[in-house]
Amino acid sequence: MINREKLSSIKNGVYNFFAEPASAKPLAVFRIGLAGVLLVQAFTLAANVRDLYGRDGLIDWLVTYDPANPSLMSWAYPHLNWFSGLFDAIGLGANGGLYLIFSIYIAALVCLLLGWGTRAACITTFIMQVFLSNTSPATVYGVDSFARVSLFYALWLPLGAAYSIDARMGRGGAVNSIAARIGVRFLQLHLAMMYFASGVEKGMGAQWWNGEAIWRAVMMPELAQYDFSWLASVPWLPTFVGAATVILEVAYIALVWNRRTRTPVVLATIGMHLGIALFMGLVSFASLMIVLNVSAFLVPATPVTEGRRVEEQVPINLNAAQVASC
Amino acid sequence: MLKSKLLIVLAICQIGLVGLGMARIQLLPATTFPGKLLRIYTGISGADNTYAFFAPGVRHQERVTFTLTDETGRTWQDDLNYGKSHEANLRLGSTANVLRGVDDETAFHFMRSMADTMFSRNPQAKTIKVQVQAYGIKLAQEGMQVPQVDFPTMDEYRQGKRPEWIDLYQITFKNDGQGHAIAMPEIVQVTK
Repeated sequence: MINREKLSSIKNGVYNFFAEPASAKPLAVFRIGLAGVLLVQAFTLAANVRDLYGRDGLIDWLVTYDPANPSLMSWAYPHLNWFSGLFDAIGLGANGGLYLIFSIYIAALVCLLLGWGTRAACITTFIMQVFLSNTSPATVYGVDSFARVSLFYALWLPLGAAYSIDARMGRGGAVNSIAARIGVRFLQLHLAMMYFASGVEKGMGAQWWNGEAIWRAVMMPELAQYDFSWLASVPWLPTFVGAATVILEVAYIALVWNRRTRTPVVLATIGMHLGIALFMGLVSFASLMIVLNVSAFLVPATPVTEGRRVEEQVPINLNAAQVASC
Repeated sequence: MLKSKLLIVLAICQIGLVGLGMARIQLLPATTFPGKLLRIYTGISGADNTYAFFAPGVRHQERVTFTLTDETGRTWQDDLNYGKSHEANLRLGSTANVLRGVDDETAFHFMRSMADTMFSRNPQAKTIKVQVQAYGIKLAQEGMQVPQVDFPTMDEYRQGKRPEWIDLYQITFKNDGQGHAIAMPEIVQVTK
């Protein structure tokens, strides 16, 4: 049986973990990095918007959405076909409507990057991303999953409190706040859990322990950037890389909270993502993962006011409103 | 203070849902109304992701190629690498890998839609053979309609086995005169 004292101590521990005030700077780096990666990605896709997302694109809208059988579950997958009639009615047509949506997406990303009307930009970017990715589910991959999750979190976090036009204009909110700490913890926990889940899933397959997964990944025509056929003659190398990947991903959740092991484990993870970009060509995915790692764990979240750390000035159990106003 | 506590509770709930999503555990049955609402929320928020990238293993790659024929009988090839950037080609090409994860009817609609696109890219074409291929080596099999393919292991590669593009199944479509593809069932050579 857990007694009342112990329960209260756990409650306080959880509260302090989430409620110790933090600087919003890591979240600002997250905002700039996320918007930057998605903007570059959007520009690289701009010339093929119709092919990827159009009603008459590679996979037409009626294949991925059946308007004759709407169901409650279709709300989980918002689709541009919802607006097909509207686009026609206002004379834009499906393609004009698509370009309008894509332009709004890019404009919202620019605002998010600059931190100008940050909250509205977050909401708009998220909605547009949901519609675009659901309209073309056959063409999405890992980067889109992380973009979705990141933008969803962005809706709730004080992203405009630092390094933003909003902050310069005095409407970005407090630089140091409990909300910022919750945001940083969100990112940290999600990343740690994600790597753990990914590592466990990989570890259950023999391919990651005998090097075959690495061998296949770099030899796949879709992903291959260089000729790695020589790896077959040095199987210990892909075996080492595969096992190291699993161990790193599983150990991340344990090692990333300790100050001594945090930087090495995050740098090793960033190295892994650089490898993915360089040898598999998944540049957007790798860039977004690097942004998440850097903002969650490498940018200091310790609030600094007038050259002094906040915890040196105020007790840890200071009222939230007081801290936020520091 | 109350707002902070509320935010913390919501954060913990969200992280809990993310954890359940990773573990593939359904909190509520999807047949119930609350279960459906939860599915909508997790779908929109991305909390239903499993993050099983390249896990438990890396599968062989598949691609789609198109053989087009005009009125005079001239034939030529096209493929899905018509994007203007590496990122666009990665996405266009990945549609081929989706075909193995869907039912036959959905796969047919995907292939018909691809044929539509090819007719608009090649308006002179009268017929298009949509061919799905896998990159690897044929596995020993008996009585299978579609060839079973896997990528050679490093050991097999050292022994001289080399991956190649192997035909899996195909459907031929004709142009209905308005740029739309109609399947020619008499020319479906191997069904999925």
